[in-house]
Amino acid sequence: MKFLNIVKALVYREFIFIRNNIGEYVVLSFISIFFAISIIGIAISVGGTSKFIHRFIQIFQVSNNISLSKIVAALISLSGLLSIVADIVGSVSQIVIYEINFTEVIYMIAQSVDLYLYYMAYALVSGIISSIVSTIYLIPTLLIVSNLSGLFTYLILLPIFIITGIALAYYTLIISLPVALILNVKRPWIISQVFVPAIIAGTGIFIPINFVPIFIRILAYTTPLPEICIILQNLLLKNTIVKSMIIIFVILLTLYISTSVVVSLKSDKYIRRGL
Amino acid sequence: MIEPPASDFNNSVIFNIVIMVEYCIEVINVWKRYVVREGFRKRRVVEALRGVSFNVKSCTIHALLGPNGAGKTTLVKILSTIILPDSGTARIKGYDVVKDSDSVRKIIGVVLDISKGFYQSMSGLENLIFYGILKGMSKRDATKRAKEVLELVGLDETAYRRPYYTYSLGMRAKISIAKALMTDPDILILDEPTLGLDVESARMIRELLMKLSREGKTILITGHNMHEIESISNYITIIDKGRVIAIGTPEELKIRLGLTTKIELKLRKPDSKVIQEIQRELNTIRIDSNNDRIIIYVKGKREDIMNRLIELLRNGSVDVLDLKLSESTLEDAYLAAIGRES
Repeated sequence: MKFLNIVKALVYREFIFIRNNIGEYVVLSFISIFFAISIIGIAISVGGTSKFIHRFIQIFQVSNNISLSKIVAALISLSGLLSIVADIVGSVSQIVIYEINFTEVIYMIAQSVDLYLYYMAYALVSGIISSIVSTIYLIPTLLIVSNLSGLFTYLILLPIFIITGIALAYYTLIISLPVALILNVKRPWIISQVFVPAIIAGTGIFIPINFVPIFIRILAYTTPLPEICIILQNLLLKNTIVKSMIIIFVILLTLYISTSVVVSLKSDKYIRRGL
Repeated sequence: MIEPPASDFNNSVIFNIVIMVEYCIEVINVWKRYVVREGFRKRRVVEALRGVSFNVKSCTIHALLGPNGAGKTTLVKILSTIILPDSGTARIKGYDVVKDSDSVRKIIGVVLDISKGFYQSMSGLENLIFYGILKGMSKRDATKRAKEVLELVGLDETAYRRPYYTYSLGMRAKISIAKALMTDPDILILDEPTLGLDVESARMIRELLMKLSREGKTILITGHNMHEIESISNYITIIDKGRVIAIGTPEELKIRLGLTTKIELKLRKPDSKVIQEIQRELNTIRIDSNNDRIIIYVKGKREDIMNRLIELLRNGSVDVLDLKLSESTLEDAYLAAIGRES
């Protein structure tokens, strides 16, 4: 019951935040679409459409009869990951640090519920809601690019986006809580400024991860993004499911959730000892 | 003050029921130490509470006074289940704040720092709805109750629909009190609810607290405004450096601390012989001098003191520029208690 009350309160709060920050989501959507389209546009402008498709087939090792519209749809779909990473890493880290070190809302929560339950519920709710809201722009975009099949593509991708969002939210929670409590960081945007570009650059997203230099991949490998990227790239471009990556992702998700439980419990104790 | 009985009986149901009837809040030998980090490696231990014990009777307003750093906020946080004591027991309506924290949370409303504690981008109403849902209310009930309490504290719809960051300190204080009243708790624990407020807002909050007390709520309040505390409190506990140094009603404290009459004297030429004579002849507790004014705290009836004082001044042949006799205030008692302790 307690967990459910926390979830309900968090759902209410998240929708208020989304309503208040709707402009940010619009900007995030445009940047993500722009990024995906500009990659294709630049490549085509350099060598022409047929050369681009030929090179794309070589890089991703996909079938020869892939069309340009399918490539565009696939890259736009992959841009959803950009929005998810930017939104979830940014919002989870900022909320956690703001609640503890700025607004002291943590006291309102601490006098109402157990803090470890709150943090576990927050990562779950934020992961689900943010991944839906930050990728919702894909519905009209994919409808324009691929008609109704674009909508079906989004519906297939949505559960993957949600599970990615949840994993990323727990991952960010594990980092943000010690940063807020032990390092006493006063500038919450530090985490998103460092982690978001590092994760995105390390994952590649629009290119196979083995094309990314190994030293850039290091941080990305601590996240679920490389596995999800491979799963999505294969699903979108080859219509295949990479079972090994799914297994690795499930192991990672379990690890994030169990580590989050430990970190949340420790943070609860730490806060109750007195900040 | 009730003495804690033997441990077996202390934990028994009968003892708890007996205590519940009279005392709403019991604090027994509570200790709390903080480790304060200074830099990356250096650490300092601060003893915020050193064996604090006191009780709060039901349906009363009980004030907790003390200088900055006395341990008031730490105690409020312990009673609010926000932080844990290192040792000792604190019970609210018989529920232990550590072992039965869930039960305690259901029956208390808390105000901590009135200037923050809410989401800045959400409105006052939205913040309260969020808090209500967190406390187990449905969204519908939380909305209804939030509007009720916001009206009770004097905030109209145009005010409470604005984002929290646009609120003045007075509005923030009202929102904090509204939050404490959201679940209609029996006990209110308020940490400096009128700190920094203008006269009108502070008065409104005072009147609201007195109304709530008359309706049967028990209120534990901390503050620095002695006039305010004296006017609304039934009981006062003074703490300093983490220890209780005086407990009682405002009147009891004034008498117990030996302060009944305050003489303010201004002489053209201060004469130490006359002052010594006054000190010897009257039942003097303390003499302070403030610039050219001499302040003497004396035990005894005001009329007797007046006659004797005039006689002494006449005999000393001194020119009196100003003479004022007044009943000592809670502030005098407080300063005497703090001064005595230090």
